[in-house]
Amino acid sequence: MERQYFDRIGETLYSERLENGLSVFIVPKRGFSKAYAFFAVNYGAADTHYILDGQEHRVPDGIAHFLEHKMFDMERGNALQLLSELGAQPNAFTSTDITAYYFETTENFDESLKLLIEFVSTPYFTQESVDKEQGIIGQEIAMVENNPNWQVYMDLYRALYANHPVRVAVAGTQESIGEITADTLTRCHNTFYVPDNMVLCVVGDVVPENIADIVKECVHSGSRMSAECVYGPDEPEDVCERFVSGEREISMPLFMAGYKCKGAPGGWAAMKEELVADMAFQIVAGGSTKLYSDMYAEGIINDSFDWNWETCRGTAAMVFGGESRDPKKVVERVQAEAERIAAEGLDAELLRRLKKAAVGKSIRSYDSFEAICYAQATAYFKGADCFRLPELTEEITEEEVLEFIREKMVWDKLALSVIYPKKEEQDER
Amino acid sequence: MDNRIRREIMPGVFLTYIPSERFKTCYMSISLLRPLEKGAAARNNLLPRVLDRGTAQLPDMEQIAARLDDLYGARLVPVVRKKGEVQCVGFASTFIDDRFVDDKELLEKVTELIGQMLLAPATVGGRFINEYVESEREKLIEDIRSVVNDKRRFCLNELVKAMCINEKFSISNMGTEPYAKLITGSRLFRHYAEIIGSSTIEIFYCGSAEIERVTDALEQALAPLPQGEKTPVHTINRGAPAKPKFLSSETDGKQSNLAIGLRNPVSIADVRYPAAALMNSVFGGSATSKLFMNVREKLSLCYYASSSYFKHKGIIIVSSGIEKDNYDKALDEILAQLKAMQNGEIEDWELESARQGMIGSLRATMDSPGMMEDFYLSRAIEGLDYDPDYLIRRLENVTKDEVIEMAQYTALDTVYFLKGMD
Repeated sequence: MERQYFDRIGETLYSERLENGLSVFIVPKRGFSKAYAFFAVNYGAADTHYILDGQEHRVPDGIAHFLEHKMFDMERGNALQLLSELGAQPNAFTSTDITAYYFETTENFDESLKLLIEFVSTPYFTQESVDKEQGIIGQEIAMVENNPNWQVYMDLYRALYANHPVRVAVAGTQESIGEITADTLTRCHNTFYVPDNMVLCVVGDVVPENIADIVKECVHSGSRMSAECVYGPDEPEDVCERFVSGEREISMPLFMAGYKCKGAPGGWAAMKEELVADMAFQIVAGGSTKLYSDMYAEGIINDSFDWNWETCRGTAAMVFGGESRDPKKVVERVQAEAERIAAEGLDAELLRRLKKAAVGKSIRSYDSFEAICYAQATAYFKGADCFRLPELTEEITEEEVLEFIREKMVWDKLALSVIYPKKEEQDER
Repeated sequence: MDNRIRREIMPGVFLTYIPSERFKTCYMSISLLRPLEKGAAARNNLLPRVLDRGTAQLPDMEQIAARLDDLYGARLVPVVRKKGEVQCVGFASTFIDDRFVDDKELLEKVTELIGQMLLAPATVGGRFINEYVESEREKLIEDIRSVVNDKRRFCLNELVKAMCINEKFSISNMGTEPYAKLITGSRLFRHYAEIIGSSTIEIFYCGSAEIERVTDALEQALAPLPQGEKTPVHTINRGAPAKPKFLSSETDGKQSNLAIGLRNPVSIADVRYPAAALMNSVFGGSATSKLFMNVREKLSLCYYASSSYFKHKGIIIVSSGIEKDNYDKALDEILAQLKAMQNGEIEDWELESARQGMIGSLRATMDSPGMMEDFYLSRAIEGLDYDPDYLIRRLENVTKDEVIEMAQYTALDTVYFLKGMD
């Protein structure tokens, strides 16, 4: 077991790669009642097309999410219930590129950890339970599709991407989940839920060696990850559609815009890029800019205005949005400011302050057990770790930020999705 | 366990202090306690938002944001909470603990900024800056209007408005649009001047600084606070009517939402509170609750079915997302689950699972400064003074009979059905 002390943030990381290929990361936190365990697979909604032993396989949209729901079924009962009985608060989620099962607990941690490893490693599906789950997931899809925030986001992704499966809803559709059988679930589990395609993170007042022993007891020797995912025909550099819109019963327009970018391939370059991207957007239109206060004062943005650097399986986009009376104006103003900075250069004093704030924010993140687990799992899958964010942030240069703005915040690569409030019938008269 | 201290640092100004070295950040909040009133609710909600827009020294958002960035990304946000029939009006702040950065006076600087925001706002001609008041007012109105976007929340609010029509609890924490529209820079300033010296103030600090350093910083920052008699705050509870009400309305969403209001005379101020809270957890407060296991899992009637205990008011509300045609089935099943509890049909595992879940939550509360703050604020409002450990011990001793008794006290008041398009 390796031990690394990160002086800047006052945290220690214990890590070990087991014989079967599974990597385990433990961060001890003294004096806390709760402990957190996070067991993740490098497999998500976008991984629906893969090649295994020379054969091509396509599985229905929404299967990774469906699989996540069904994993809780075990021969001896339902893991959600069993974990709750142990006093744990379990949960799980599926995104476009990761599936994670986790729990937080203040007691019976060892028992709960064993159960977590067991239920995620053991596929148990009956056609009957698959059929029943279709009802529940069908309801979930309906509820999600009901949500205008989800709609504006999905519309943006369809506007940005012509082919890439990141444009498909994580839960799939009512139709696509109808095609899922116990057999396809088992095949996906066997293909992707293999130890060297997974990671376990534990944060809490635990003894690292004890945790490692428990994990070694529970895990089976596994096969190696040998499937290779493919993501459709090459995605063109340009966006698919510049502008898409829809209507819902909402009180004010909702918008989401995105710059389609080429992302760094992985590892530390990707970790760094994420920090530079965030800094770049902040310097253009973040809360500390004159542009932000002007737009806020004019009433064209409000506290919902937010942004994110989104990457998934080779795609990358700088996404921003929120509620706005005039989404097109917001987008034009952001773009104009990006172009102005690209031409005139940025405010060095502002960058200095933003870096200080970003350092503070990164140190802050190590207070959250969930954030540490999620950040470490995703960093590990990229080939890096999540414990050097303050240093990486301090290293960001003016040139890097300017380069991002010049090359990536480009009008031609921008797509805009808006959901407008439904017009009242009275307006027609 | 953390060694908390509660101290009145000035007349009517209370500090709850929790020393801790476990966190990278320090937490400080300040809340003025106000009675929830129709006329004042919107003004109270708007006030911290306007104060947040500028201080005399830093008169606009850009300057405030720059200051916060310079304080290593300190966060300072307006917070207005409704606890029963009390509005808690103020700010919350988190900032990096001194020991991780070069600036060793972060605590003093942040406290000073909070004090200025509260006591030295940006003004012009003896009132708030019109531009700030108008733009925040418009945003408040938008927030009031946007409740309709979240069908679940909208349904719940409509239920409360109907169920508590003659009680203060029906007043939204944001007030109403008509009252919000009436707010001007001078009216809001008059209101501010009225309440700043006449409200009990609750302050909370959690971090690694010594208490004297915290009280010194606060005494300096709050020195200009006007003195005066403090307006009392309280919540009045009521029983269920002889005949329950059944209401409905329509919406364009695909899914339908059901909200069911129940009354229980036991609130957080009552010595039987732990039993009532546990009863709610067994009923619909967790993933192993009767509502989740039966209405959701067994019958697949809905994607979510849960109950919330509004502990200051003695109200339990069931919230569920269903298909329109399942209204009768879902309502019957939900009420059947309550009836079952009243008849004593609670399995040991259901009780223990709920108990362990609540205890786990309380332990988790002690791991989060924000959650601790909310816990202590709820207690302070009711004149209670105990820590999460105490509540854990009480919960450990609640018997099944006590839970059944709490279920028997629970009576149906109002049902609200928000019909979707499907």
